[in-house]
Amino acid sequence: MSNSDAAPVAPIISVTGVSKWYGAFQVLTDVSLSVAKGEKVVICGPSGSGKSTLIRCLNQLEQHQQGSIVVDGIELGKSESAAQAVRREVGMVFQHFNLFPHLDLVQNCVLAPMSVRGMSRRAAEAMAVKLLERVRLGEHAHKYPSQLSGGQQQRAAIARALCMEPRVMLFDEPTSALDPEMVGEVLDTMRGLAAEGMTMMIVTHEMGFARQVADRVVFMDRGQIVEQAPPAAFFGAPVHERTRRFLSQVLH
Amino acid sequence: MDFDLVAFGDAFPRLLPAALTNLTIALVAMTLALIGGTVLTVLRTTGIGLLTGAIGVLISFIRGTPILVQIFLFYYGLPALGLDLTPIQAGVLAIALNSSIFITEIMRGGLSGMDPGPVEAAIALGVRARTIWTRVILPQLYIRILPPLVNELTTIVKGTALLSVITVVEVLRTAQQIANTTFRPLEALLAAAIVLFALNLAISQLGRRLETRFAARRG
Ligand SMILES: Nc1ncnc2c1ncn2[C@@H]1O[C@H](COP(=O)(O)OP(=O)(O)OP(=O)(O)O)[C@@H](O)[C@H]1O
Ligand SMILES: [Mg+2]
Repeated sequence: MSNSDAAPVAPIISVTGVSKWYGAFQVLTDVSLSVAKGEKVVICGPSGSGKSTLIRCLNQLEQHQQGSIVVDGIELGKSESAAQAVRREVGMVFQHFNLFPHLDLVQNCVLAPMSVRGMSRRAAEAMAVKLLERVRLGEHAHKYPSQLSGGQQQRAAIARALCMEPRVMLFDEPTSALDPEMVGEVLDTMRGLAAEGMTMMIVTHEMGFARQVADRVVFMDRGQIVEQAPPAAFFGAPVHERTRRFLSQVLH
Repeated sequence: MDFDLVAFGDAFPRLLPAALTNLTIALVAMTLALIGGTVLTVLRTTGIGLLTGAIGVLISFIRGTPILVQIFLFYYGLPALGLDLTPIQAGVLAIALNSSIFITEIMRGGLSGMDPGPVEAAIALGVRARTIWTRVILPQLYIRILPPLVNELTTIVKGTALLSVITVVEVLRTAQQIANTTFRPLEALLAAAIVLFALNLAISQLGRRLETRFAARRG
């Protein structure tokens, strides 16, 4: 689904006029963005441009001070319970995997389904095993994170997020901490997820991946969205000078 | 030579059962101290000024006074407040309080060096704060601080000998009783030292095994 033919249904993520400050430093300036169900949006931009901050606001790991963020019909920033409700529906994958080091992969996967969704251990473990197999970690299900490679850990982190059966998945530079030979396996897993229709917001510098998978690429600079377009237009005919300068840097 | 090997050897059959008292006291005190240390640690992260202030005062008081005085305070002081404790109960409580202070300091050090990533992941998964403490933070923390915790247990074992002064019949007091009848204090006390040393050696070895066993889970 591309942006232009999106049905006129309410978007699953709707960010309107959002601003955020760290003390006197404005990290997000009047950011507006909406994401339709099933859409894949890639966010790129130079270091410090506010990409992480923006997606971390979507599940309230960071709080915005101005504007509104509505995820899956829930307005964020009004109450802690709204944040908790959104977190049940939104999975997040981090640059440094952030697995629970003291738990094996299955236990990493069942912690949230059992404690947040009240699933039985048996059902949660069955789902964990199924999803670990899906990210091709079946035979590592009972290993600890420290016994796995970075690529395997990141795939496990994706499986852990999927165990909550999220409606949206957020990725914050999921391959940036990986050795080059492991980037592919993680991107493949993400492609699989995209093919199944998951709504995804992905901060990444993997422009090849963006070209293939994204419905829309968003370019941020200095806390603002400078430009957004479907990949063909974004890479083929970027409008803004800042976008062109950024692309010439990351594509070479 | 004025060392009576027979008296030395004869001390052990009485000291070994007494060592069970030291071990039991140490394990109970350690368990209470772990609970106390954990509670103090969690309370200190609340950022409630009055609470953290009060805990700070308690910490500097316990660290700044001899444990022997603390044991006397529990044994003679608490009955004065209407709380009648057996010597063992008073001793266990005194050691447990003393040790929970050292454990909360160990825990705070361990916390400050911990990767915030897993906690962030748990928040993003919607896990409640209480569960994050019990299932994410504390297990990782205990694994991280296993070596100093084992060390603390050996300190506690040594501390149990102090309870001889409030009439607890443990290894040291037993050795004194033996010396009183045999008039062989050197032999009895050396045997007592060896028994306590062996106990701590066993604890250290067990600790090292635990460390190896949990190595993969340290992350
Ligand atoms: N907790 C914080 N306190 C103060 N400033 C912060 C904080 N977190 C981020 N910043 C600043 O906000 C700006 C945006 O940070 P953010 O992490 O969102 O950028 P980013 O686009 O994700 O960068 P990168 O590509 O390096 O990950 C940066 O200048 C950063 O230094
Ligand atoms: Mg970032």
